Amino acid sequence: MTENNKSMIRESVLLLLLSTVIGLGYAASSGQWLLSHTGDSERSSSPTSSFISLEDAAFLHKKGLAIFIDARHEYDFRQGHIPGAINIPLSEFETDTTLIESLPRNKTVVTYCDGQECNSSVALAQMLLASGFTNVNIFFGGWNEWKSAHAEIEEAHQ
Amino acid sequence: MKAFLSHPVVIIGARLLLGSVFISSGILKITQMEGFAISIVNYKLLSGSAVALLAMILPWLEVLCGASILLGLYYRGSTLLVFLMMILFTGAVLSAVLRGLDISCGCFTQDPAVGKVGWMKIMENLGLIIASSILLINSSANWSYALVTKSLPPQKDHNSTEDPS
Repeated sequence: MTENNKSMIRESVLLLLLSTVIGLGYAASSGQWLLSHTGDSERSSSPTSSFISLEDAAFLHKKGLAIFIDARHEYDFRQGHIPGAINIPLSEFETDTTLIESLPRNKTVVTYCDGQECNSSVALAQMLLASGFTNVNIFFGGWNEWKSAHAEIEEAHQ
Repeated sequence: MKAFLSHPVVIIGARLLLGSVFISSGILKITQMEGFAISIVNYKLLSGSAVALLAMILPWLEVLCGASILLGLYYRGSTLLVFLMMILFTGAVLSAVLRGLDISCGCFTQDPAVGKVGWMKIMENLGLIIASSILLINSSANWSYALVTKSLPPQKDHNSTEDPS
């Protein structure tokens, strides 16, 4: 390898390292940290939502550390949902605030919808943050990922 | 052809194009980091922590590389990274098109209303790949900070004849 190529690779690595340091530092300091802190219910950064994986969602669910909120329509919720989840369809968020008002604002919340094809979970998370919730997580894999992972399924109560 | 590709005007044009595109694209992603993460997820190539890390780091890499190309600071390293990023971005868009995914690019805006990615985006990217290739094959450029620090050799005058020795 020529000295010219070595120098090129050295500079590339330096730029990569610099980007990593600045990127992670900026995300952490501006409250836009996207990595989840599973089980860290005392997270104290400014209110923001995080994307969490199936493993993280399953951990929070198993330990009972979070309230799961299903953002899908009631019909889909009735077909099946994550056990213990409550249903707040996005369209009803503003019209029916009874359920939301009864929830403690500092409780860890996980929103989800069908999966990666829908954005209701993200929109609901933003609405929850605007309502004063401080620890909102988005399980972006959603119901499809949960179901295909053969996780525990709760048939809806008729 | 080689003389054209190493002409100072062509090189400065490629630098201005890539520098401005990467800086503006990076800044827009930094201001919409969460939306950018969703765009990455929509490609269905990465998931979990990889998406989060990419969404936090890639925009800054774009800004730094764009600025480096414009200023001529760490010039060779930034041209290599920009070339590699363009190859990766185009590969991702191509795979989305071939899989028939109905997703937006996530390149300059995270608004899904901009429409789905298609062959036009791939053609745009090919143009940027050509521009980055021009910079990659020319190891030096005029008006570079690196020339001040002597870490780059001065660019040859494209009109001058080769030294016969």
